[in-house]
Amino acid sequence: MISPAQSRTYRDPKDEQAKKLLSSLLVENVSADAYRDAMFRIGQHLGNTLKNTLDTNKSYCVVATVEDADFLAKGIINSLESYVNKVYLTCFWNDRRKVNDASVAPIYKKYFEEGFESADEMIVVKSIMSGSCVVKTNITALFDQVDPDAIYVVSPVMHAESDKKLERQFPRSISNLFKYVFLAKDNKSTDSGEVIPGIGGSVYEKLGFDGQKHKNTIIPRIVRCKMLASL
Amino acid sequence: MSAAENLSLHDFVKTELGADVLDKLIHQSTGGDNNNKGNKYEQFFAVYKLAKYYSEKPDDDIEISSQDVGFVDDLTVRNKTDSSKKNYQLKDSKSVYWSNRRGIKPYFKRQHAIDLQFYRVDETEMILVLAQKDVYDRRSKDVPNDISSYTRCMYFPNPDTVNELLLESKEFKEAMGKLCPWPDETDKLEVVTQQLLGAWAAHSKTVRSVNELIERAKAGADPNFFQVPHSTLTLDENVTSTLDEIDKLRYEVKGGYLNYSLGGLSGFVGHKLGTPEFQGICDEIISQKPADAMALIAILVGNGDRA
Repeated sequence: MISPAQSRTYRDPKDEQAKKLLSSLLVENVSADAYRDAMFRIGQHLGNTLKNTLDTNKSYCVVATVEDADFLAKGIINSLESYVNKVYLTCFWNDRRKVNDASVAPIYKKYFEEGFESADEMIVVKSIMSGSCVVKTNITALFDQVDPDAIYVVSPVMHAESDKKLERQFPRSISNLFKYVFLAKDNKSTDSGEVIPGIGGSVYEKLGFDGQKHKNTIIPRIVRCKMLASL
Repeated sequence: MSAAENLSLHDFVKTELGADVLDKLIHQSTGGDNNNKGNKYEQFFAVYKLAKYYSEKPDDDIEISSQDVGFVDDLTVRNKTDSSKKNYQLKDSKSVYWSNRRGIKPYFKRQHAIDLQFYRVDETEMILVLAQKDVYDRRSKDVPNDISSYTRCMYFPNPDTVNELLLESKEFKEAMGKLCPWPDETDKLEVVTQQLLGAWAAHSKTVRSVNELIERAKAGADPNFFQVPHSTLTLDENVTSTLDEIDKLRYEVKGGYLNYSLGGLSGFVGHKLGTPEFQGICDEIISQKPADAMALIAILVGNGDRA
């Protein structure tokens, strides 16, 4: 039997900080506050990794989901906003479900920071890349308006096949723009599609939300602040 | 087609076109391709045509089928209102020719004769649907003269997924968009497309009417992103008077849903007008009379604006 540890491959086996941060997500009975803090610090770590690739003269559109906005995405933004020309935030409230046995994630709300269309490239943030239907949906929703030169798909953990699943959803002209930034890849998942060991379980509950419906009733603090500034 | 109708068609073909042609028809009807009629390309194309006919000819009596017996039979569309029949043959291959050993011209000619003489329609058309653009470019330019009056080619891509199809085919996206109050939002169109695919898979062996197939898709739709035609549902004046006072708020009812945008946030309330859940939101707006954007958002997002 392959243990969860054996099903994982680290992008950089020498990155001890990454290993420590990912392990902190797997602590049994970790509190929501501790989990949120870990996600924020993982975001900062991923942001620092991204710095090796990003152009300081360019503007970037961060594409976040409501559950990740105040933690993982905020960590990435925190790391990058004084490093590159400009960082714009977009945020999506998706309802992930099955229709005709296909995974879909229709958008019920979205927040677009003013000026987002002027971004040169996109940074798509997701706490866990599994089936990729949320990432696919949100890239598709934004692509024509942003017309990016590159699309960074950024995640602490990806399932080993999630990149291929994502690329199947797009013509080559778009999928050729994808660049993946992650800390680890896992090659196991449960029958219901949860990646093992992944990020320790369902991200909604781990972050302190009461499931998918509940997280869709929240306005993230980072979004609220930007809205108030513009109103 | 019933067994009796099938027999009658067989009799016709044998009498008018010959026993060897009947053999070819029977072979075509029972061959491997026919047994696998539910393949993805055919399904994608079928729902494309369903959506197009439903929106372009809503008052016509139109039947659509992938089960018909014929020489051009991947999809047949029979308009009983204007006595026309269109027959589609789908090919995702580089090897598609009009006139060689495996050329398709004879099939198109036979089907044309059957349509006019057996089905007795006033107009009949054969459409060769091609998934590969270079093949379409060539075949559309060399349609043989003796079938060109009733034959044309059409390009329809065959990607792996609905999302890619919506991105690649402007025509497909527009057809789905006609059924949806958000015609430019691919996430909603994908849901509508999957629901049409589901209705097609579940019902197309027994239901032929375009209108009925669409209604079956709508009846089972959850979430329901289908256009609500001629809706008379409007917002309560007590609600609109409060909404109109909110600075920078824009709102409208689309598809039976209250859509709103302000401060960069846009969305729609997840319960349709006329439902008890939506009425609950209206009651809260009326009783609390939110005076600013964030107070209104708290009601819309917290109480009912959830997926």
